[in-house]
Amino acid sequence: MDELRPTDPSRIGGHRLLGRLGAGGMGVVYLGRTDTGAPVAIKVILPEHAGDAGFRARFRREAQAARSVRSPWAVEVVDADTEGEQPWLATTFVPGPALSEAVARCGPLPARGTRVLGRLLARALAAVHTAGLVHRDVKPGNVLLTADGPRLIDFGIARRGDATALTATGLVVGTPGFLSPEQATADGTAPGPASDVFSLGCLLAYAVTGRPPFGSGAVEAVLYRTVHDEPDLTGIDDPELRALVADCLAKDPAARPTARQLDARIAEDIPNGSAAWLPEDVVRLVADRSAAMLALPGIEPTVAEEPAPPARRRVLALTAGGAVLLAGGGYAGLTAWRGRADGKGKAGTRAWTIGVQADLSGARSAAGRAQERGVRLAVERFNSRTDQAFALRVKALDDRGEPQRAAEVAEEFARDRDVLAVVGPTGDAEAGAVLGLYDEAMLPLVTVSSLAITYGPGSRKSFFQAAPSYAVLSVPVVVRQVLRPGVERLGVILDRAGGRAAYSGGYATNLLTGDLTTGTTYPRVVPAGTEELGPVVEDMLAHGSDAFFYAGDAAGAARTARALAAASFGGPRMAMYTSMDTRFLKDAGPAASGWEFVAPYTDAAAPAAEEFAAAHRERFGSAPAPWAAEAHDAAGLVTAALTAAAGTAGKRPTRAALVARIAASTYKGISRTYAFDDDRMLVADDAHLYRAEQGRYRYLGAAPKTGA
Amino acid sequence: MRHLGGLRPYAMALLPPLLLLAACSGGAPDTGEGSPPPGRNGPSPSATGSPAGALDADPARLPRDRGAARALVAQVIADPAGFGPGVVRRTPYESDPETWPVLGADCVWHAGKLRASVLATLSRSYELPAEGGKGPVRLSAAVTVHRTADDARWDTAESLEETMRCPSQQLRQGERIESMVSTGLLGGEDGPADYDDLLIELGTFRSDELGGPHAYVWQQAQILQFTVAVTGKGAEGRPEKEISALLDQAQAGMLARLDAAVKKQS
Repeated sequence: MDELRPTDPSRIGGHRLLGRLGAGGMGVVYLGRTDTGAPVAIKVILPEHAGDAGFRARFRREAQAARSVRSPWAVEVVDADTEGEQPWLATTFVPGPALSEAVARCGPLPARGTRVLGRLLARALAAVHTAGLVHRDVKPGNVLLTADGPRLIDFGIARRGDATALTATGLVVGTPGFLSPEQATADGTAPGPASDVFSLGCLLAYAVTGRPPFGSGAVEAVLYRTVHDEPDLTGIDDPELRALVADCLAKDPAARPTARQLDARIAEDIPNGSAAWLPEDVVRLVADRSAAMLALPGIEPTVAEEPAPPARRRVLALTAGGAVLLAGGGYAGLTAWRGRADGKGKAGTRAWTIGVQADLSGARSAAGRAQERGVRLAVERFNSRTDQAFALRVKALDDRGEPQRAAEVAEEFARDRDVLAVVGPTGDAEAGAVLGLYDEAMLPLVTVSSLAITYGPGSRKSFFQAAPSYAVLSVPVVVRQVLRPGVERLGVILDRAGGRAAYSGGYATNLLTGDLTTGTTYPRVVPAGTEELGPVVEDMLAHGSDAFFYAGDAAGAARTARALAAASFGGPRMAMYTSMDTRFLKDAGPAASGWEFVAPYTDAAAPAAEEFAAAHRERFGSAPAPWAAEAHDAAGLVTAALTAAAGTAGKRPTRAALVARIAASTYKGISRTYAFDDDRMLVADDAHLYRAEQGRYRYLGAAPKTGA
Repeated sequence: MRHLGGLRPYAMALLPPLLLLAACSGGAPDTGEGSPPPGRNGPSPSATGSPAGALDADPARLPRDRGAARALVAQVIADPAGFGPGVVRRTPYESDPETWPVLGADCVWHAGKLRASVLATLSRSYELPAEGGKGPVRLSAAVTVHRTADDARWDTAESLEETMRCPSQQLRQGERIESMVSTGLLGGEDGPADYDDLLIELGTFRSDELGGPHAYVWQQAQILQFTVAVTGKGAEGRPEKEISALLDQAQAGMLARLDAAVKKQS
């Protein structure tokens, strides 16, 4: 919140003004309080609009209609003056964060929470539509979150008459990405209630995936996609939610459900004054906002609770208090509370933040998103403990798997002094692009999935690899494939299509077989893109290969599997995890059966991951994907080092001190025990085994180690 | 554009741990790592290795028959000065262009017959003479025009297989290379590059004449239907770094001449 300016009035109507919440094209929004002390948001219309007779007539009509909107999920218009020289409108003030801020800070909401959000906002819209209004700007910035539910704000009052799409100058009024096709085409017809339903569909997709369904970027492109393209609903795993969103996003307004139908269709229970519908870190954000509001001058807290307490025991107390306040009908608002938008608690205190640098939208986004979830879960669980001396935040940034973008992300994290450590990046190209930047900042960087041995000259003082390198994964391969009865000669196929990971794995497997066993190898290297592997496989069989290891990609592994099946080879067959995806199963068909894979990541079915997998299901509505547990471990490793460094006094360590702590630490996680050598590489070669069976991958357990 | 000289530090950084691993019987994985991928920032592990096409060639300038291929080879292959000052010819200077080196199942090299997939090949021998207590560095270059790019890629694959199959090799009577490890980097795997594929092999060299162990370096770039290779055999007082610098200079020069000879002219 900004302070009042000298030209600002000190009172409007009967309300004392406390500060400015924001300003827009139509007027200024102030925070004020009523005679009874309740905070309100007051929108004061600019004189140039007030002088427009047409505008004033519309404002009068809409303010009148808005006062009849009755919904617990929409802010209430408490007072208005439509006739004075400076017309104004006051609504209850909500101190919660906007949905847009919550998703940006804490990541997408779980499916269940999104359904709750959908149902309650549908009710709010139904109330708005019943009053004869169309909101016209349903978007994440216009939904505020509180412990007991969302609040829809700013519904269709005092908005520009042409606030449908592009103005004559090309300026967008409204929010592209959340506009309906009828708004985007701006063909002159006024958008109806169905337009709000479309926007709600966009909003729900955003809430559950973190992305608007028609993308972002250039305005014209987003609007074009809104009108012509199908929405991108990938990432909405929940079938019911997906169908619901798809229906809202029908291009034909008549084909969309009404707000009331939506409400009836969602079965989710309404939160009963409880914050359980929101993830822990969003609850914390809500609590922080409430606390900040309580700290405002001129607002006497009716619940005596210390503001901005980081530990959960305090947060819960405060949240409960906030719920009481809200239930008491006091607070709601007109705009998002912007004060302390950087998420700091008290002024002067620095947040303790763990960054996540991941590929969240590129080629390896499945791995990146899984890692983000793992870190979030670890931090939420850490924060829910009652014995910690500090609370943590998560800040996730998408590098799209692009080196250029990765460097920008690293710079952002290096600059943000709240960030103490970063988990990531996802791939080798990004790691190569950022190691120098993290080193310069001495900011700890812990990767779980970039496992090359070298990334170039220069130091790697702050870089930790929390999984066995591509080459070390060859140890379990050799032990598993060669140290078994009947195997004398391991056929090694190094397919250049697998890039450096396959090169390392294949080369090292060949090299180590002679060192670790009395067996021999028969190596073959094939160029990338080799379609016909039959002759290679036949040559390998002719030279006595009685077990096989394929290092390459998924397509090549499937070709190898088919070639071996055609040769009726039924002996041990194995590949690296880089081949282990659905494409291998699909392409190889029945020939996939019996293939084994070595991977750095554990599985939801692993006994050690049982408790984690259950927590993940509860939090995200799905089993953890590969790399989630490892990222959870990496965050655990960091928080353990942080706890040790902070001591009982909870003193914030420097980044460099944290680097030293991590380097010296031993941490027992879900996937393995973590400790690092002088090169910051993992000591230990713990890996995991999988087998393709009946069209899926089954977890076999920990991969064998030397001497096993 | 990543040139050979730029890759060198990365290749060097990654090979020692591999040597360590190779030397480490029992695997002792806690001492380090295995075969490292070269280059600073490779692709994701699931990268597909379709050739990046480092050279935009004019099809009309690509050699189609033996005569044109021989002419191109002569144009591209380095002369002694291509390695740097002081380098001289050895005798015999040029190989018999109708032979092709073959590594036998016994890991001994011998001269074989030129294979049908090769349009033309030529190799030359050079030397940086002994000087001031330092031994002579024996150098060689080989330029080959294959019939197709696919043939060149298979030739590269075979080269890789050779060190996987034979970490110790007999070059000729009285000359051995040992503890060979190789690393391969696809062009485009590490950003734009002036090759489609680059192999570097390091090992130790022993000879009856020069003793040893000394450094041994071999590197081969593949681009389109061409392979361009260089070899350096060390001697007393000739560290691997010095040899690699000679090789990088010669190989980069040959790739530049190749590029100029076949690329599209604007």
